Amino acid sequence: MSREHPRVLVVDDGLLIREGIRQVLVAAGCDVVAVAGDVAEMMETLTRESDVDAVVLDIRMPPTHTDEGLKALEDLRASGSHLGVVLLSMYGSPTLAIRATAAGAGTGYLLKDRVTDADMLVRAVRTVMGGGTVVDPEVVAQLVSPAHPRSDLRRLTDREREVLRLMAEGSSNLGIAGRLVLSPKTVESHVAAIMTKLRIESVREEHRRVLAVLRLLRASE
Amino acid sequence: MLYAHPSGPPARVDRNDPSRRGCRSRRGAQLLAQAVSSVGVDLFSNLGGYIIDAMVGIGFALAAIAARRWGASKSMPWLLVFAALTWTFGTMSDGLGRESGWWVPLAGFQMGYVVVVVVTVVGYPTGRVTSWPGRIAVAAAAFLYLSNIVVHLFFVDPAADRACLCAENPLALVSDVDLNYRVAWWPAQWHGLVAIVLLVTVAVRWIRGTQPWKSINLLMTVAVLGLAIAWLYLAITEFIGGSRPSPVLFYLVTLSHLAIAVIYAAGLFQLTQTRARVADVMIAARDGIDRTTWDRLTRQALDDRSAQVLWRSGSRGLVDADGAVTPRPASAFAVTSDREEVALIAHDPATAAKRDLLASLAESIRLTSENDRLAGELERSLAQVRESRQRLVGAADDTRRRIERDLHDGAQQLLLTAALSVENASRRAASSDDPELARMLATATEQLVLARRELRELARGITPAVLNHGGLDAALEELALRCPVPTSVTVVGDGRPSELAETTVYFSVAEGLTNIAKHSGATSASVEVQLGHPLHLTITDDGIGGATAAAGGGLAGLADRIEAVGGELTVWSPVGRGTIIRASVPSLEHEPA
Repeated sequence: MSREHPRVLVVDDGLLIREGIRQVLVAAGCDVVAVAGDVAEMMETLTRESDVDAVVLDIRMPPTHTDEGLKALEDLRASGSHLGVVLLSMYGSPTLAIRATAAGAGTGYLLKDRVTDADMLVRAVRTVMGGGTVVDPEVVAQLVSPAHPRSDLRRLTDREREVLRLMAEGSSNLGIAGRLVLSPKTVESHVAAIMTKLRIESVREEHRRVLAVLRLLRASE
Repeated sequence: MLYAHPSGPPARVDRNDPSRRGCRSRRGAQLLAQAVSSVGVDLFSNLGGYIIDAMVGIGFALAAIAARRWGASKSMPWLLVFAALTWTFGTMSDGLGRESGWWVPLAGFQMGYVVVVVVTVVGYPTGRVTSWPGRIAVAAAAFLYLSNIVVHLFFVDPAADRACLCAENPLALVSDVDLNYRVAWWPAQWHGLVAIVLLVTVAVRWIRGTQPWKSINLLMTVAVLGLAIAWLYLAITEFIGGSRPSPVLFYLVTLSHLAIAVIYAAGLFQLTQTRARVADVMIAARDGIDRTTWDRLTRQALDDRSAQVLWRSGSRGLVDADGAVTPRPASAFAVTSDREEVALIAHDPATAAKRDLLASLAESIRLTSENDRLAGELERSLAQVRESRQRLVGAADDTRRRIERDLHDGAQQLLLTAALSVENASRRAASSDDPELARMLATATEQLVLARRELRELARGITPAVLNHGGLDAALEELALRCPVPTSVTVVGDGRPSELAETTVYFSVAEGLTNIAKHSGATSASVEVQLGHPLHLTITDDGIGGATAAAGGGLAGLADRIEAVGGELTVWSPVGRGTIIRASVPSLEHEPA
């Protein structure tokens, strides 16, 4: 999807911030259809405004000020939406980045500071509109910095490594099964084997996937 | 006493009675002459008597030693030594009195043992005379003794009877046979009076006495009865001038003295045995015993089945071992601590005689209860210190979170807003004809970027936001990511740790990894967490070792942090062989997710 003036929704609980972002986006040629102060307002706007190309969404918002934006994204994806979403995060957290990208295609994860960089922000909006993935350079730098192969990963079979790579791209078990022409049950047992070999236990399922991908990323260079 | 047994005149009660010494009648004088001429024969035939006399002296001496070793009263040993001396002196003086007049007045002193015997009997076993009948008996004996001294000093002169052929008493004020005769009955009658008082005292005590008292006093009572009856009988026969009593009676008197000395020593010994039981109590009490056990031990130690320990319980007054409120008992021994009564040993009235034993028991009860109280106080204040330390750490963590939140909502937002404004301004400037302004605004933007990056790093260091949304494992993974030394992270186990435990583990690992990066020279490290309560944390590296958690050491801060929340830290870090840090952290808040 590509149009000259992307229709964008800005969601942030800070009034001045979302106003600033709106101005930056407008100046860069976007059409800011609405702004919202929290997740509920965002959902409401989305049902009202069907023709939205992308959402610029702050992760940390009321009520708990932890990961509301990310949860909203996961809810959107769970409801089958392919809307482009650029998440804004105050800190570049690899965990959050992976969770964001794992939610599905058309997702970006940027440091909030980037909003003053109109070019980067609009580029990200356009990328996610087109179903692409954006991860903030600073986070990528963090992920690849240790640059030591992980001994744990060497214990994975080729097939398991393939499954892990697809997990890192954000595929669900079902998606992986389709791509590798395997039964979902087989994929599930591969995933379980990966978790065991990487010694990732007793965490919520989504975290387990994130942690597994973290290890892959850290071993990737 | 050369002629006292058994053919001589009655001796024990009135051995120095001048009339008995042969001046009372012609028959007596003849007997005396007979005796003097046959000293050797008497010596032989009276051997049994001498042996018994000597045994009584030795008995008193032994009782003195017993009183010295085991007795409660300080004066008792000396009184008994006095008894031994006066008794022995008495057994020797009779014959000597005929050789030198000086022995006559001195003979008055020899009856000292009577006073001692009375004190021993009525004060048994402690040596303290507290009852009024007892005091009267002692006073009567003392009066008898003193009056007898006076009589012998000034009013007895055996030489008054020419037939006696005795030496003169140099202190005698009068020398008169009749007077000799008249004062003769004096000691005998006083013995009788003392015997009556003793009999009354013993009878009253026996009737009033409780079972434990009787068991202690049975033998002594029998001995006293024997002595008192013999004294009384002698006094009566003397008074009515009847026939000379059987020598057996004198043996009975002598043997009663011996029995009293022996029973006294034995009684003291028995008391020491019960004192040994106090030692048992002390040993048992050392291990901390309950109140029911205190009752049992107290009964054993006192040999008193009615004994019981009553505890003072604040406003409720006295309570027994089961906590039931109990009225103050009639006979009890107070256990005091800091002049305050903390408990009472209720006991049989007779057990009051075991004063020292009671005092020892009371002392061990006091020590134990004070120990318990101190231990409890220490435990409480330690718990308070631990809690307050934990609260401080928790408060510090809360403050960190609040500062981070304030930074996020305040300074960071404001800076970002300012940056957005500058960005908008610089866009306008770019489209205007003022390149100088555009350049200035571009510089401001760059400065703002730097300012925000610094602030972001600062805020990240204050509290890890990832803990809030990603959990401990994700937070530790991110720490490992930022560590220049390749680090593996393993988290196993169920449940989510408490917030305090999470923060503690996070900062401990952060500090540990910083330490590894800075000082260890390691090529790899690992962080392992076993969830649960307590949570176990292990940080391992393959570096140079030599790390220490002691004050000033590289890991001191980490140790403080772990210990502040009630955890434990051990560091194994031999030089050249890497480092293993193990910590356990209490984690008791969240149920398994």
